[in-house]
Amino acid sequence: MIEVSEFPDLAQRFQVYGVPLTVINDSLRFEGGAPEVHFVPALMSKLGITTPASETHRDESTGPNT
Amino acid sequence: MPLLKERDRQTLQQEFSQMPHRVRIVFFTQALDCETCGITEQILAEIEPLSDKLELVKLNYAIDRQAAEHYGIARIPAFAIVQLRENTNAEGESELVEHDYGIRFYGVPSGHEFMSLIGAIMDVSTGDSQLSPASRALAAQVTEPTHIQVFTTPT
Repeated sequence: MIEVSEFPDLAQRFQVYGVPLTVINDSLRFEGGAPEVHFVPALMSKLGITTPASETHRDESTGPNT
Repeated sequence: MPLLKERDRQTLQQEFSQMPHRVRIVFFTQALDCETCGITEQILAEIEPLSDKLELVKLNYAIDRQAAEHYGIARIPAFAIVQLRENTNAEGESELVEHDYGIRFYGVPSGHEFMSLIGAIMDVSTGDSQLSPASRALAAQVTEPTHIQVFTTPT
């Protein structure tokens, strides 16, 4: 959590024009706030994660071996 | 003059009475060249006495360099919120061990961010994100260390 008005160097570096702004690994950006049900999938999709862990397990258990 | 009103203190005391684990706030500050360090310290110092499970450790950013590196602090004012758990060491003695969930605050935790601070203390104390099972199932797929910065303003 960064109170950006106190850190103008970060505001400039990450081009913070509006808040909240979420930056993942210094490069992936998500602008604005959202309810958890939208926010978490949005953040995860930035990391290339779209499938919940439980579904992955289910896929494995119902895969070609079963 | 205190920042917290008596009514706020009572509300927070009630909230903090639900804390299962102890929480340590490790605060990095310095006297010079830090416009907002003083107000940040005042906020944290007013919160600390509201629970016997809360402790505030004040470190000097310029002097306590090893600690600053340990917590990954590169600017101030900043604080880490960590959980303390009792552990029995090899000699059979009880000791407090820090559990660091990686939560850091930079700048004054005022306005909306004051509630974020209280929420973070409670989350760290319980060790529970309070996320839904669906969110947890997604987050469980993260295998690499991931740095998430949330930029806010005080309003």
